[in-house]
Amino acid sequence: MRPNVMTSIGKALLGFFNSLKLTVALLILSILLIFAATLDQVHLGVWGVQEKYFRSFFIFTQIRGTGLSLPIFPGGYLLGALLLPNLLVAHFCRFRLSWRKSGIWMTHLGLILLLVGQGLSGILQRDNQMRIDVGQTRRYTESFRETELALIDVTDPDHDRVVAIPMARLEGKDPIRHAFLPFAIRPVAYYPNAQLRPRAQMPSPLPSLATAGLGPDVAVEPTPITYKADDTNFPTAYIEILGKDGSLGTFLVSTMIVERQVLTYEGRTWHMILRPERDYLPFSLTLLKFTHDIYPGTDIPKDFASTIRLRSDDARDDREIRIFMNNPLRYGGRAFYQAGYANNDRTSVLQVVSNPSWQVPYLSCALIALGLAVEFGIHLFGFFRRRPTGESSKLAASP
Amino acid sequence: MTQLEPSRARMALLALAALLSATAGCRDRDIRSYSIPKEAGDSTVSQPAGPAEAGVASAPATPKWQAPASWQPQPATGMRLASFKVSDADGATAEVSIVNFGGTGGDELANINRWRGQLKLGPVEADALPAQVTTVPTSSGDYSLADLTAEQAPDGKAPARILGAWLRRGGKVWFFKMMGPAGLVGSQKEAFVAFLGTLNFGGEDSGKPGALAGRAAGTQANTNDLPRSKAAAPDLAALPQGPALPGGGSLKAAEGSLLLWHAPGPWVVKPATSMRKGSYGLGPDGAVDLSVTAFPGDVGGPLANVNRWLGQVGLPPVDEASMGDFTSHMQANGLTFFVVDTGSKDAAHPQRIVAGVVFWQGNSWFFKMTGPSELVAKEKPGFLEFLQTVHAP
Repeated sequence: MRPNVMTSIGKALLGFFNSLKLTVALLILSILLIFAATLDQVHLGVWGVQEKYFRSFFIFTQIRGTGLSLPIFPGGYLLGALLLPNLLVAHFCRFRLSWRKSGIWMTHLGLILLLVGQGLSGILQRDNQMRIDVGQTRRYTESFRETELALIDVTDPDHDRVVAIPMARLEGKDPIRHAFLPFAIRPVAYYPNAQLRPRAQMPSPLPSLATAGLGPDVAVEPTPITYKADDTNFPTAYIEILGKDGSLGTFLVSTMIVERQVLTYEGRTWHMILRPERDYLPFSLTLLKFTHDIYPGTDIPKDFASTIRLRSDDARDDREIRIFMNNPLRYGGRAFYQAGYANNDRTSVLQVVSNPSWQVPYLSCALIALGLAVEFGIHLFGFFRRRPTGESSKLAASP
Repeated sequence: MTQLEPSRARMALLALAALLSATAGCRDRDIRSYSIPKEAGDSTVSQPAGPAEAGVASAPATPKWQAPASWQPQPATGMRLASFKVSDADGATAEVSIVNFGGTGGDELANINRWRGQLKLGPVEADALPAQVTTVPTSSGDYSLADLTAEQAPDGKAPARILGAWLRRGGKVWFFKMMGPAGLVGSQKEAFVAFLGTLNFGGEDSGKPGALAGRAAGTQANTNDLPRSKAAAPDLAALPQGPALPGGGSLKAAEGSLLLWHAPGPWVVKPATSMRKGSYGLGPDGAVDLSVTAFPGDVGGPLANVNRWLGQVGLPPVDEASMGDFTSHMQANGLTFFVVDTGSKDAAHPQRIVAGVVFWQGNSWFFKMTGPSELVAKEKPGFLEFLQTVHAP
């Protein structure tokens, strides 16, 4: 009985995923999704659109006055997750493995790889940036969007011990503990975006939740989260530090506060700061020179380039590299692109992309191109084989 | 079409596909711990070791200054980068504070009215600003300086007085304030202005942190060298940040030599065009149109602009002498706006234009609000507040 049930479920699934109608429906939905996302980019910006439309299983809309969110359209992940088995099942059910079909096989394999590669990029890719001044040495990159609460034990004269807590953990209410922390952290309040202003400047600020550090002097003004590309969110939170004998105080942390706050506990000095998530590198980059050329008579950048010195921790590499437009540095599993500049051309901004699957799209495209060439070649070869030879043509043409 | 029976291999294929879809989007969000060598310039803390000595340079991470020897340094607390106590022979004391904030730190009018409030003086309108603020040029930039004195106290005590100066620099606003008895503050005014002249930011517009994050001086360049997924992602530190205005509006910024401004949250942002640097819909259904445009030169001068707008609302041109009836000047963040307010008398479809024009870096910037008279009248106060947010990058 059970094998029959399994078989019928399997048949039903295969029938569902084998359907060309499903392919057409998914492609139409994908087109509509891209169209809607393109229009909505005006309101949400690139990042917001990616999160809402493509890095989601469903697109939700909120019913006015109820606070309820309802899914109204499939998101990119769902469409991709359906397209992939659709392509796989349809391919394996419709095509037999033979030399004559090798072009089709390669093309489909390339498409499947493309889908899988995109999925892997969505999961594995990290986009960070490195801001580096001329003469400065950096050995970490910073996330564009993610933030972390860094608790740094600075007691040791040579080294700092860092415990980095992802901001998402501060959204909960449970105390956060870690083996390297002698105290616990209790999230008190969390704001995904807030403006901070000195309390003295506010006519009637709300009472501060902070009892220690900078917080008591600062008024927090929660603001709606922004998805605009030219706007920045300032995540903010109140956290209470819980020692063995009770509370050590409630601190205000925010990416708007760029200075570290100090806490001394059990003879050790801790610094705390909410900052962009850091990724430390096994090598360092020193910006030796930055050049920025513009088109004459305009402010339009023509070329900008960073000359850097790369030194690996294992002393195997110590060399100068020039990073400029369309010529990133690929090293240590990361690509460093010349992305921008600031501070009167004294600061270079590099975009750092880490994606272990970055070669998959290249491989996919090569496979698709090869598959199409093979398919075309097979047809061309067959055409020439079927074409009558010159002699037989003449014979056929003669009376 | 060939239909095959399900096999274990195909079931496994389906399971793999399901697994791939299920794991999509999962990201590692664990607490990390690691040890790093100490890095120079990466550990600015919020509590400086102690007050600077009188007459010597201030603590690191702030601009350097030369305070008069008679100013007694006080511990820097909370948001204050530095405090000083100033005394006279009679025992009267005044206090000097230095703070800085990211963003615009509020507009001129808000600053003045906040200080006026501290002196129990009533608020002033934007029109009165030019009389309240003077400019102090220094090598670090042009400071705005307000000198405000409270009314005579009924108990015969000396009225309080505030010398408040601010400087926008490198995406931050630096406030310098002296408050105390009017006589003492008055005697210190020269020293206070001289003190402003000693401020040395050392060219570090954005590199060194203050109390709050600010907008770094600089430009995020356009480039075609970015992976698609993040091509428009902002450079966190280089991007403009929301100034201290309520409403959740966005600070509009642009590259190069473009002015910056802050649009109130309720305004509907309309797509900018090649002509419009900014475009907003105000009022019900966005019936009032606000455009921001910039053109080289003076575009014919004030009279030509006024007469063009008069023509747009169906009014005859005027001459220079009668132009003053509906024009005024307004100061905002070191910019002088020529403000025009004119409306048609057409009872059926009265239209009104309120516009501010500022000449900046060789261009005329037009901030123009057009729409039905009644709606434009309602939006005018908000528009004037909006003009107060316009500032140079």
